[in-house]
Amino acid sequence: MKTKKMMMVGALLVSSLTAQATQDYGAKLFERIAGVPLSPKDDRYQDYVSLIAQKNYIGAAAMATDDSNFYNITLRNWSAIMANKDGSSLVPLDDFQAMVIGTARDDIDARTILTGNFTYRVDPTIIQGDPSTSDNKYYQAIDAANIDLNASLVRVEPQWESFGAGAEAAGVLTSRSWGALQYSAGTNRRAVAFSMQIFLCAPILTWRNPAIDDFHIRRDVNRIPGGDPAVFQHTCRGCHAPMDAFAGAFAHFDFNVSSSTLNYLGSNIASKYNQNANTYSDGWITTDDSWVNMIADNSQFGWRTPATGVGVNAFGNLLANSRQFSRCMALRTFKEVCRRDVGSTENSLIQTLATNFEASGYNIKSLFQNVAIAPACLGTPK
Amino acid sequence: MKNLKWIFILSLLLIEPLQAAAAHPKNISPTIALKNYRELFGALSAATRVDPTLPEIASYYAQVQAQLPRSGNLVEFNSQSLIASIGLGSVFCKRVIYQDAELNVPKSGLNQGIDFMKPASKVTDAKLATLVKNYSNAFLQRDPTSAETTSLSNLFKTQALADTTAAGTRNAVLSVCTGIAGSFEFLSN
Repeated sequence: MKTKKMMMVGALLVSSLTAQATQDYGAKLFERIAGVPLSPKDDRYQDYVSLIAQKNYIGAAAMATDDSNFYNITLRNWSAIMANKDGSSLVPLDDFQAMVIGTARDDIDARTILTGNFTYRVDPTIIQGDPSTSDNKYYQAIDAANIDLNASLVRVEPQWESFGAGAEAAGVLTSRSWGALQYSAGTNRRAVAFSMQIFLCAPILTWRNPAIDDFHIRRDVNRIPGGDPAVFQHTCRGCHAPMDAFAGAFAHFDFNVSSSTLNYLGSNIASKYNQNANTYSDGWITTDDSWVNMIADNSQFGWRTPATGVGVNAFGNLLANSRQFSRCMALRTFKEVCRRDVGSTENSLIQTLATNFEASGYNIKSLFQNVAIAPACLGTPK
Repeated sequence: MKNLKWIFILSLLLIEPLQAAAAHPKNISPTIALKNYRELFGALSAATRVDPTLPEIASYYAQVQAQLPRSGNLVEFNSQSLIASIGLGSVFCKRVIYQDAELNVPKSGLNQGIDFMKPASKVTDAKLATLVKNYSNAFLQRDPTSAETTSLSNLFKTQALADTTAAGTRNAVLSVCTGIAGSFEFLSN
């Protein structure tokens, strides 16, 4: 009799501990997605607790991705990291981030972040003025006023009316934020390197290859640096061959440093493309914005579109439709929600998350939900 | 100020084992992380219901933003981020206490029933327990344990003894608020 009582007490204790553990898991799930905890006083609390009790974790995660803080905190962080060269989240709001956040909120295919002709602003009754190609004041004003991005972002097409009808657009690749970072001064090669690093999680060291044909390397690259042609063949060529061949995609864009303005040049080529022509006069001459994928046979990227194209939109399409784009978005989301890098044994998890991301129609909210409920992220709910 | 010192000393005791654990990820649950700076700011704003755009809040946040945890990885838990986190918490705490003290005896909210016109020593144990409970619910989404209630009540009473004026009540409440806002449970995610 005594034993039975003890067993009952034990069972109740275990049941109570399990219920507490499930509740704790639920609390963590919401907070990691939304960035802030769900208060028991919140109207949604009982519904959320019920979903957790029913082990409907994807439903609970969906409730978290509907919370405004998911946009203002979590997605803000996630997009900010991609909107600068250092991978820091500590940057002011800009058109790049607004586009990513708005695309997620509106359940729009994430590939349009690299191909779409749109931008996001807020209702003119909230912040006056318009986004500008010449400064970031508009978005900084949104930041300073702590505007709820979930409630206020409005999708606008085309991206830049001032560029005129038929202007090229490729989502964030033609945002002012991206232009300021990638098209200012230099040679626009930087835009290639960072496109690969940011959207495919592939730093240049992972895809340089000195065996690639060098026919597309421009005239400004010295073929005998320091008097030694071997240096070019073994070092410079590995990066420049694929990078220069891609860089044609950005030939119609420039960023004027003195006026701080993103410029679309129409059918003209940015003069930087053909500068220092005497360095190696037999090098590639840029005459249009065509590009070639010289690393088309590199299996890590899982390319699924033609290896040649014209313009920045086609380049964005190449990136967005690669298998590596989906994997990269899964990796970034994992790091954001789970607060750690993916382990060397977790590649299959990332592949599964990437596959599910594509199956969802490249839905960013769905990606966050699936990452958060993966046992490798927040543990296994009891 | 005295409270912050205590919290700081207590927090330092926590740092070493946590840093050691962070250096050996196998020793800790993979689910432990810190609130990053945006999450901390959002959580403080939600817990206190203080307008985050108020100048004193916004300017302090801008001042310490770079010192707060950036990614939320546990390795970012160090004395610099801790001081900045507690400092930010105290700014929100001061504001909510200031707002409530203007009402003399707020009828609702975190400081419900506290008479800011009287010395802290006049606050009854029952009201003090309610105060601790209110803050715990707002910041930690749970009731305080009895040990926490005792510990925070003692902190309040120590402060009450140190300043017997009515103004001392604000500081005593501040010690409870920053005690919870600076706890590892609140700072973690």
